[in-house]
Amino acid sequence: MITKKIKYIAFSFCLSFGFISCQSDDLSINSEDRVVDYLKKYDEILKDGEGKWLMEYFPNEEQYGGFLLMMEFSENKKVRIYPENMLCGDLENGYSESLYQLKADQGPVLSFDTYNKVLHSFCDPSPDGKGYEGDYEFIFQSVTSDSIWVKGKKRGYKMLLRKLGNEESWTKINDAREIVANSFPGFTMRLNVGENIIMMNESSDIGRYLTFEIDQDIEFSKDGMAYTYTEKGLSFRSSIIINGKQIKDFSLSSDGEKLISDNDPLIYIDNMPLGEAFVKKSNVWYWNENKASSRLGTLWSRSVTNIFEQENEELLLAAFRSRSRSFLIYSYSNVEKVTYPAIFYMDYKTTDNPDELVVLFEYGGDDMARFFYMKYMESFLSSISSEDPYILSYDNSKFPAELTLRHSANPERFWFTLERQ
Amino acid sequence: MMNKIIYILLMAFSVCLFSGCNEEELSGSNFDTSSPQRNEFDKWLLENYVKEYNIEFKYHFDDSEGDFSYNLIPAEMGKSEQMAFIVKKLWLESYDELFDPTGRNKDFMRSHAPKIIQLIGSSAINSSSGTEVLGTAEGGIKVLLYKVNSVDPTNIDLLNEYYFGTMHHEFAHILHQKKNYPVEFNEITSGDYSSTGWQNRTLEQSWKLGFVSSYGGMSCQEDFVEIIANYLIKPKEYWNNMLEKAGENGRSKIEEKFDIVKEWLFTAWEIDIDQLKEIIDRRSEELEIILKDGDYDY
Repeated sequence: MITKKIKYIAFSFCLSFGFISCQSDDLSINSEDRVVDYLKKYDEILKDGEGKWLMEYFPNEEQYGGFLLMMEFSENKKVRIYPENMLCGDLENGYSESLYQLKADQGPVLSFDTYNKVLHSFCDPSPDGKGYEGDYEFIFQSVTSDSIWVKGKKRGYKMLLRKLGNEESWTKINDAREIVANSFPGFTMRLNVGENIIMMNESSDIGRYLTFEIDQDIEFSKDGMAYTYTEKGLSFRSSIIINGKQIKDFSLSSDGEKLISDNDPLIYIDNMPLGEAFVKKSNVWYWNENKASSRLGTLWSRSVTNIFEQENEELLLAAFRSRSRSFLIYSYSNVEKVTYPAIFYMDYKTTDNPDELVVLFEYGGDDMARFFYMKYMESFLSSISSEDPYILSYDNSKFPAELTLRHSANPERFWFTLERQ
Repeated sequence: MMNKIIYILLMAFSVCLFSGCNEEELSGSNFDTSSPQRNEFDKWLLENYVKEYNIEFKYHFDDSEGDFSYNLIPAEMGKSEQMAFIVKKLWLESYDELFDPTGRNKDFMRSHAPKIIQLIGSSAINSSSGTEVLGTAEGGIKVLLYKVNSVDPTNIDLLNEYYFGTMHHEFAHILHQKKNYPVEFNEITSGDYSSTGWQNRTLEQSWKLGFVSSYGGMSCQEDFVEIIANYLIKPKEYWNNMLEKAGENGRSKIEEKFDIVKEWLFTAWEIDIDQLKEIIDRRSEELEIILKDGDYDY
């Protein structure tokens, strides 16, 4: 009986070893070899044909939104990256060349590990230690011969690379994208859902993130979304559900006036009048004393001189903040070596004419404005203030960088040009 | 009978075990052993760093070498090539020349220099404090040189300030960790070392206390290596001006400590610090001309 038991144990023991050795061998042979094989295979896929891939690239997406880049992979681990027009304007030949590597890290990783002026401009930490917070190392998520999903190693954003066919040209794609970007700036964009108009506010800086001001009657699954200008229109980072319909991609209408949802023709993006955009959208318009009528320029200079002579402070900048209805100044104290902000309350109103704007000084402000700077700024702000509207004109009717306000009752005596930075 | 069964069991176990081992051997290395693709610069690095000094000069970004909590970017290829050339000419070969004027014997740096030099394109910016790191060294093994993309490699004074000060500093740590310096050094300014307060001292205050730099006032070991690094990279005029502004008290302390440093370097390592400084100064001038003419192999 004991002998039988021992035989049984011996048999099981050997059997289990046999299995263990088989199993562990399979695993050990396959796992490392598999990664090396994958890296080689992925590299071949990247370089296949002309090696051109279109990437929807997202740095910190909730602040800066998305960008189209074209990547061209070739032998000797070289990659050329082509940016959108607004980025890296001084590039010779329109691209930046650097090296890439495929390496085993947290799975197979695509690493752009020497400096590329296009890609790494999104990752450079200057000047605040953060920069645009983009990634340049990507973990492969899924790979086919015509599409690759990767995930940023540091931020974790998923991004798509789409293989470009030989007949597809980056110049054509980028030019088409540029037309859409110029025609639908975040500054004036609004979303139409049937009869309802949804305000969309840009994020700061590059601004390709929109926050929706949602009416309670409309069902929205998200209150904000990053977007990318594409060759055919505009693409949200991911789908949102508006009134039960999944909305992600928009295409330019035949007349170029709208971006219409691919899923519902009643949902589209168009532009609001510029005067309305000034009042309703969050923007900062900077005062420039060299771009004002002599009367307003003199009043401004007097304010600056008085602050300097009486307080030993230098006025660094002044700006009209449209949506928060205020006028902001920053003043630097040469004595305390500190910069002080002060906010004066204003009101900006539209009229029936889309090219008109009423600017009113409310004679109030935060504590710093009321108790310290009011006596210096009051005469200047009162002179600007008027119930009679200003006539607006823009240097670029679609994407203005300068806005000139000319008083309707006295256009030569009262005018000034504001700048958007 | 019992013994027989145990014997069979052991045999069976051994067979299983060996068969497992044999399979392992057949599977070969678990790592990719194929030769890496090397560009011209890689080949130059292989000859001039790996084979000559057993140093890996890394210009591809590798986050395992840096501090992942910072946002960092890779170095530009062109700048990396220049830096590789400069570090070799100005740092490694200065020591080579000291020990062998022909420069052929590279044993000293091969034995003692850090084994990895990693280039990084940006500085390491601490976003909460706004401070930036330009160079670090870890345990004598690795040196990280930051901000490579924005330095002018032809500006030797700037390179000394950014990088070579750190490299001489860290290299001096390696040397004194291998051979102790005289403990009497620690006594000269023993009452004024402050591990946290050194940051609040101006440079001139530090000089007056007998330190060549504010950081030297942190501890005696930092003080020791700061004297070596500053003496090697600062111009003679700077050193003399420092002694003058240090006042009688500060000057005598700095000079007393410098004498100990100088003697120790010579007796422990056969390094004549004045001769080394002459070599570095001369090489700096030569290098400045070479770099401005662009007449260098990398």
